[in-house]
Formats: sequence, structure tokens, C-alpha cells
Amino acid sequence: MKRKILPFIALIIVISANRLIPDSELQPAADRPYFFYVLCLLTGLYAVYFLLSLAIGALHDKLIHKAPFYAGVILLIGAIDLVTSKYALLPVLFFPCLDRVFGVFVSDWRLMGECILASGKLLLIGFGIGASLGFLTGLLIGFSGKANYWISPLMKFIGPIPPTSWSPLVLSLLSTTYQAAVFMVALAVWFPITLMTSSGVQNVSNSYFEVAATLGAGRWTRIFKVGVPAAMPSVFLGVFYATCSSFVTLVTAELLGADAGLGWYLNWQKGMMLYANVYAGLILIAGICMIIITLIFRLKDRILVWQKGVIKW
Amino acid sequence: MVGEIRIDHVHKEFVNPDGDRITALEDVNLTIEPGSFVSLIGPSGCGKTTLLRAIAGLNPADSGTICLDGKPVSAPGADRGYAFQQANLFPWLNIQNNIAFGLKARGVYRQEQGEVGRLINLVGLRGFERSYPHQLSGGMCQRAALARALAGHPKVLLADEPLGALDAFTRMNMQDMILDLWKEHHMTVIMVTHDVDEAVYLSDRVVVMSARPARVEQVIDIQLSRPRDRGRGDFMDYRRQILERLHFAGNTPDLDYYL
Repeated sequence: MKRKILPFIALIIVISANRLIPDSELQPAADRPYFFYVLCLLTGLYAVYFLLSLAIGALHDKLIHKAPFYAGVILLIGAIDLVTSKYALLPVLFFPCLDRVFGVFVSDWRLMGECILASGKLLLIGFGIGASLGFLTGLLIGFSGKANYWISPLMKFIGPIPPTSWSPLVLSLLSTTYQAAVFMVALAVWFPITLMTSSGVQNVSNSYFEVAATLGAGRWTRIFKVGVPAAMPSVFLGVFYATCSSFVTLVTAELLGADAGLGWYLNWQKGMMLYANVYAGLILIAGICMIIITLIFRLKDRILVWQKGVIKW
Repeated sequence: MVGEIRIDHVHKEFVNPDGDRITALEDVNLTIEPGSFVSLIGPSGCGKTTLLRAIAGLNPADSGTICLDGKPVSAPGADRGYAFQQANLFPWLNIQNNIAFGLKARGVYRQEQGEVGRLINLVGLRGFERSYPHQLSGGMCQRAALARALAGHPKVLLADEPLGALDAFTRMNMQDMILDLWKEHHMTVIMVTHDVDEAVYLSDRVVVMSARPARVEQVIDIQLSRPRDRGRGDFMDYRRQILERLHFAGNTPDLDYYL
């Protein structure tokens, strides 16, 4: 019970510091105290969570576990508030006050929404192409000795090259920069998925194939009902790596001449010296990446129910 | 009755990591009558498993023939069920689907749906159909593996120390279960074992094999009525006879623990 109060105490400390200490005069003022609004929102959300946890046992246990962490995060944000807004200990151009950072979400929400859609589309197309090709290449390498002999060295040669360093070549070969961006994202996804699929297949214990053979399974059954499901944990690890590297590539690929997208947004705001917007963009990217990876792990938990937790998120 | 295995002049060599040729099976001749329960027993590493795998078609013999009901075997097939030393259940399938795997692979699941439920009952796993292998004990997994091997009504069940990894009590229960399955399915059983008690308790005939290269040393008919009593004098006589034979077989100078 005491632990569950901790976030409230942290919120009271941070809110009173925010309200009682005047903002530094060096710091350009925001039009509204958005950080204070965020704190109020957090307080409201936590209060709802707290009340629900009184009724639901499972939520209670989870909250008991997480409460000190939440309190720590709130105090950390409070410390950032002190360092930037209140005492302006760091150059104000590069470290804007939190009111302005959170204000961007209000003033720029339409543009941010467009950027999310544009990046989402690019990510979806690139990921779809890269993942399906990667899975197929991985299966080929894993199951066929010939494919392993010819394709595997090529994969190991191309794979470690950062996808974005293909840009000079890709830009001259493909007709639009958008295609180039899709290509680079697809390449970033293709390598980890190919590698993890093929190594997953190659590491399947031979005894499973022997069991299948003694049960009268033909070649395709052995590939798709034994090899593929047995390799799934490894494939998922590949999907996880691919997601991370697709984000890195996405942000860089959009610098090449896209007219919307999260990477483009960051670059444009940096060019305008609007660091509050840059931070808001970073928070947005981190949030989206976290949501996507959480979804992937939920999916993994559903598909790999048979596996005793190996990778966790 | 079907399920006759005829092993004719079977020879098999391996090349070990040092590049030496090692004869695993040397001129093995054996006829196993349809519907009988036969145990292969011999010193560890002598090649019993090699012989069993050759019958299954997993590692074909170098020369000689192995025939099932007069037809030579060369590749694995559903007419010969195989129970491995480890249960080797597919961890991504629940028990029901593990047992149904062979039926589905051969496209006969629709006709044989009742078969899976019947086998689950027989091996005492009712209520665990939806469980995954990692949720079950070793003995339960081994029972599921036996049910899986039997789901397609094989003519022959090849069992490679299926009870080797189990504790003594589970083992004795499972021996009775295996006898029940054997009677119910009218099949031939060839079982590799290290355990002389187990061999005498279960088998119609015990095949004693010599140390490497494996040859058939002696075939002993166990003329005891079932159910057998492990404590009776004649049971002990058979036990002693096999142990003496094994001791003699183990005294060849090329046994690995003499090196």
C-alpha cells in the first residue's frame, strides 16, 4: 500500500516545484504551462489506475511492483524541469523548457499526424517486402544445401553494410526517392530475418525430422509442419531486430528527399533550430517504436505459447 | 498376422571422428515372428540402436537386407512406428495434435479421428489433450510419444529404450501399459533395453547381442505365462541366464572400457 502512494508523493513534489519556483528569465516563455497540464493528466491517470487496483487483485500486484519505477520516472522528469525551465543550467537554445516541448504536440498535431501516416506507410511497405523476401530466403538457405552454398555468402557480404549507405547507388537506379526509401527499409528488414530464419531452421534438432519421417510425413510436411514451427522462436528474434533496424533506416531514409515522415520532421525542425519540436519528435518516435515492439511481443506470446519464455520485452 | 521382420546378413560400418572405420553390425541374421515381443539386449554401445534404426530405415544397412512381410525396407515409413529414447514430442503442438501428427501428415486424420481419443485413454492422458509437452512430466511425455508412434496402426513398433530415462516406479507402470498396448494392437514389438528385468518381464524372446561389432549371440525364449512375477524362481533363472550370457559377451577384448 505504501509503495502505491509513492507516485503521488513524487507528483506532489514535482508539481509544487513546477508551480512555486519561477521560470528562469533566460528561457523563452511558452504560451501555456503545458508541462503542468501533462503533470495533471498523469495525476489523473494514476488516480484512475490506483482506484482500479483497489478492486482488481492482478492490477494491484502489478502496481505494487511498478509504483517505485513510476515515481522514479516522475522525479526524473521533475529534475529535467528544474535543469531547463527553472534554472536554465544548460544552453536554452538546445535545451528548451518542457512547457514548449509538450506544447509542440498541441500546436503541431496535424503535421505530426501526417508524418506518422507517411512513415507508417513507408514502414509497412518496406517491412512487408523485406520480411516476406527475408523469410523465403531464410527458408531456402535453411533447407537447401545448394541455396546455402550460393546465397549464404552473398547474404553475409551484403548484410552488414548499413542499408542507408546504398543511397548513392539506389538513388541513381530507382526513379523516385520514395522507392529508394522503401528499398532501404526493405533491405534493413531482409537481412536479420533471413539470417535468423536460416539459422533457426539449421538449428532444428534432427530428431524432430526423424520422428516426422517415421510417422510417414513427406518432404513438404517436414518443411512446413516441423522445420518452420521449430524455427519460429528464432524467426521472431529476427523480426525484433528487423523492427529496430527498420526504424533506424526509416529515419535516415527520409532525409533523402521525402516530403513527410518522422525522420523528415526531425531533420526539418533541426534545420529551423526548433529544438523543442525536435524533442517532441523524438518522444513521438520512441513512443511509436515502443508500441510496435510491444505489439510484436504480444503476437509472439500468442503464436509461441508452447515456448517457455525465452525472449522478454 | 502381419509384421514379420527378416534380417539377412546385415552389415554396417561407421567412420569415427578420427577417420577409423568401425564395424557396428557384422552379419546380423534374425527372424522376428509376426506379433511377437522381442527385446534386444547387449553391452552399451554395441549397436542395438544401429540395428533398430536400420529396421526403421533411418540409417540403412551397408549390405544385407531387412524385410518387413517379405518387402525390403529402405526408408522410414508409417508401417514401422518408432519410439525414441527421448520422447521428442513436438514442443509447438499440444498432446492431441502431437498424437494426431502422423494421421494428419498422411491425410487420414478425418477417417481416424476417434483413434486419437482412444489412444489418449489407453495411455492415461485424458484431460491433458490441450497441454503442451513442457507442462507434462517425463513419463507422461513418453506415454504421449508411444501413443503418437501407434496412432497409424504400425505393423511393427520399434522402441529404443523408451523407458530408459524414467524412475523405477514409473517404469514398472509403463511396462504394463506397453504390454496392454501390444495386446490391443496385435503388432510386433522390437525393443532395445539395458534392463535385464525389463527384457524378461516383457518379451517372448530376448536377443542377446555381443559387443562391437554386434552379432546375435543367443536368442532366448522366455516361456513364462503373463502376467509375470518378477520374484519367482523361473523368472530369476532367465535373468541369471541372460546376465551370464551378457557377461560372456562383454568379455571380448575390443570393448571400449578396456582401452
